[in-house]
Amino acid sequence: MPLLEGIDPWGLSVALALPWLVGSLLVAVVLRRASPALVIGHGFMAGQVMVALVLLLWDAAGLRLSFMPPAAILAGVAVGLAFVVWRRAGFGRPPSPSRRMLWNLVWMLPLAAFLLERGGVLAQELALRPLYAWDAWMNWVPRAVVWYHYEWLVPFVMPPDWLAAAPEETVYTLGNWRAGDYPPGIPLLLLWQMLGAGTADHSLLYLPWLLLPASFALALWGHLRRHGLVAPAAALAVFAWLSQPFVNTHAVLAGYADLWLAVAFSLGATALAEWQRGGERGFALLAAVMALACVLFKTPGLAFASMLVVGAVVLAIRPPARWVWRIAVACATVLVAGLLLAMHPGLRALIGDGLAIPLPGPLPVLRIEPGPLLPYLWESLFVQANWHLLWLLIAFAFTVAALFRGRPAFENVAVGLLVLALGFLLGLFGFTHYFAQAENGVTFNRTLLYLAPLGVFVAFMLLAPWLGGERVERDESA
Amino acid sequence: MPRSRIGRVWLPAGLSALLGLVAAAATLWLVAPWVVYPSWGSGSANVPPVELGASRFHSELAASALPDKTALNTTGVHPSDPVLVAYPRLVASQYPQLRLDLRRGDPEASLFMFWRNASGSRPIGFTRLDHPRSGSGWHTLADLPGWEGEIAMVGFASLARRGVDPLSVRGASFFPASREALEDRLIEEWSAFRPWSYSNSNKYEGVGDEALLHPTVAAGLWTTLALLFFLLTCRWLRPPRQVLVGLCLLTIFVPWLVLDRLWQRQLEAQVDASAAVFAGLSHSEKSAREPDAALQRYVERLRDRLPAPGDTRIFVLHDSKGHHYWRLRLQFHLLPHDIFNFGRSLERADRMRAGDHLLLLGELGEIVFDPAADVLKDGEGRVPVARVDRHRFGALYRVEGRGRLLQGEGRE
Repeated sequence: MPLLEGIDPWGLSVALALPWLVGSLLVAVVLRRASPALVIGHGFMAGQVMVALVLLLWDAAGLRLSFMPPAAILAGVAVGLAFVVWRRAGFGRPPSPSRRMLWNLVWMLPLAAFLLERGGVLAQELALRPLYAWDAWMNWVPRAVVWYHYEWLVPFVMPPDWLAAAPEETVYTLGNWRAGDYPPGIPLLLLWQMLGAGTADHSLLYLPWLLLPASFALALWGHLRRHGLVAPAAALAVFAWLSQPFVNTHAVLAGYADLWLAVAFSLGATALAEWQRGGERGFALLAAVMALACVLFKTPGLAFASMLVVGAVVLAIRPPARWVWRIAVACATVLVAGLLLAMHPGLRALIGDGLAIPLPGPLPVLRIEPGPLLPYLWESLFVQANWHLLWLLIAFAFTVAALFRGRPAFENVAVGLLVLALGFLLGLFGFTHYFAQAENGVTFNRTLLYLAPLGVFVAFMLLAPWLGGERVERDESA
Repeated sequence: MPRSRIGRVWLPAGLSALLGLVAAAATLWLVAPWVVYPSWGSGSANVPPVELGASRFHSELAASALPDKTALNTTGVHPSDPVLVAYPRLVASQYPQLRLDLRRGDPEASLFMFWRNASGSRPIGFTRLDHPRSGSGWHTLADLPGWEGEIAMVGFASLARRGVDPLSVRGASFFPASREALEDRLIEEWSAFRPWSYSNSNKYEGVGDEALLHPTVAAGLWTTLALLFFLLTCRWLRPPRQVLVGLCLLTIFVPWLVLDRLWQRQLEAQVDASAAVFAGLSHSEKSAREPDAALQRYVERLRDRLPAPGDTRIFVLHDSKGHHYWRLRLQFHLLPHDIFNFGRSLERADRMRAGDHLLLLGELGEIVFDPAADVLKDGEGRVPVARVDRHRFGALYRVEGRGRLLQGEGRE
């Protein structure tokens, strides 16, 4: 079969399945009462984080990178976790399907048809096409290729450091000036696939990109069902997530890190929402894992991980809701006013060259340069075909929640994190030199992608009181 | 759910939501020409289209077809280049849009349209068209400077980077601002296949740059109007909130589904296009079908002449700024070689040491190889080298000693 030539299909299968198994078992141990969908949905990302950590520790110990020993470690961990899960739950007979469950299957048929149709074309395209996406072959894949060749994590540095390196040092640099400083998460998970498959160059190495949105779909389903949504509504949410063209594009033109950061941040936020709702501390631990994933995947992940930490701190100290509300409203007012003022050329001329804010570590210097962001934002959200009607859906959900429930509807950490993240991005692109990136359209949509999965969850969560089977508000006409 | 509740509550509200969708669609269809064509003037909707078939076009030299030097100088079309021209008679204000069907060789070539006024009193009009490589596409002429009066000549030329690009026009149809033309144009623009490009990782427009209306905008308007109609009827129906929210959600997802069908068609067409190139091939065979296949063959040639990865460093020089496709793809294909891929001169000559390699990619006129002295030099530095390979893509040198900069030493 030409597709499988040059690749070890069994090794690749283990490379795909083993982290997912280990991650799911870890989540099952951490969360005492969670549905299979939730466990498996979070387990995929948790497994990738474990792979990254195992490879980093293995290399730090000075050991030669290969597939079998780390795989054996992960398998051993899986066995241990499985034992814990078995001891806790026991392997009794599964419950018989109820009439409601069977009726729900009927509602699932359209979703299943969609999944087959969409998944089929995406899988075909991924398998047919050699690595295509620009940033993939410029920034992310080269490190994995070099590590695969050398069997250790050769350092990648900035170009001046490469030039200054001593002759006996082995260091590499990339064709994108700053890419040497990018976090190692994506190259590590690619390296894992390469080690399993026995090659550094094959289309099927990028299967994790195809599985990533599917894993979030499972988590989304699990979370929304926990929030009381009936199965048809949860199915609609899954469709809303998996149908978005920009999500599909990043899954099939694989190799970018943006979808990974999007899912990691969103899983962290949904985990915090569960912690807030039910008090189960396992979700807080899960959110911490997702925050770590954010940091591993992209430099902006530091900001998103920080937001998750802020969310966790707020949940832990539980300040009065009205104070959080007042701060949020004040910040939102300032932001909106600033964005409107920035439409005026006079303001931009007033600030001139403005001030520069140096940021710590690998983060760049921020130059304060207001720009007319609103037209570009409008175009991205409501004109271009990136998201279908996602942002209309989110606006609808916020409106309904505001009208029918008022402020209590928004006292949810997931809502807060969505608004915080959106505010952060609007501030970054609207008031700093990053406006140029919104103007040229290179990174703006990719950063809005970070909000897409959480946006779907928040929209349906806000509508949950009216889309649930048990907690229907009766006799409340429009 | 009790059947009485379905009949009493859900059914009338559901019908109302459905009617809202239908009513909104009908309203948009009715008002579409006034919304989409607002600045194109009225009175032209009833004229028949002017259709120019392939036989109406013949090739003329640009110098005779386009005597206005401004048009030639601005577009870069040479007086001896061919232009496909036709001589219709049409009133520009009555024909604000063009459907063009053509075939050309180079998808990167620039396509230009020219036109001349019947009176000859106005300069030659011209514009660049954003058109698919082959096939049909629509273009808006209404707001183009010079598209006015009576048009007596239209012409098309395709200019590739390296000269003339073979062009054949299969048909050019000028349409009025009519409802029929609008329907045809929207259907064609929304369903046209646009193959992957690198910009897809940054955004997905859904239509070409010259599209009249984005499908997302149309779907958004449809949804908003449908919601308004439904909510208006709810003042009489007064359904429970659960029913209201559920049906509003469905009202949003019907247009969503329509948009998704368009996207699914794009994906299926993309798979067909990819399969036409890559199906049935092993992964190594696919490389020969990629756009940079020639570069990949060059890289294999370089590998044969280079030491093993890890035994040398490679400095790549190329006359470019920023992220240049060719030099970055070369770096990727040369992995796992250790490569420094910045600069277009010997400004870092002092960092080069014996055993390194220098790859001069493309033309770098400032850098000269002196075979008598076995030295590469330019105004910035000089490096003792031995030439390893020479190819139309580039030249490979092995550094034989420490390079040095010329600053403070007097330039040679």
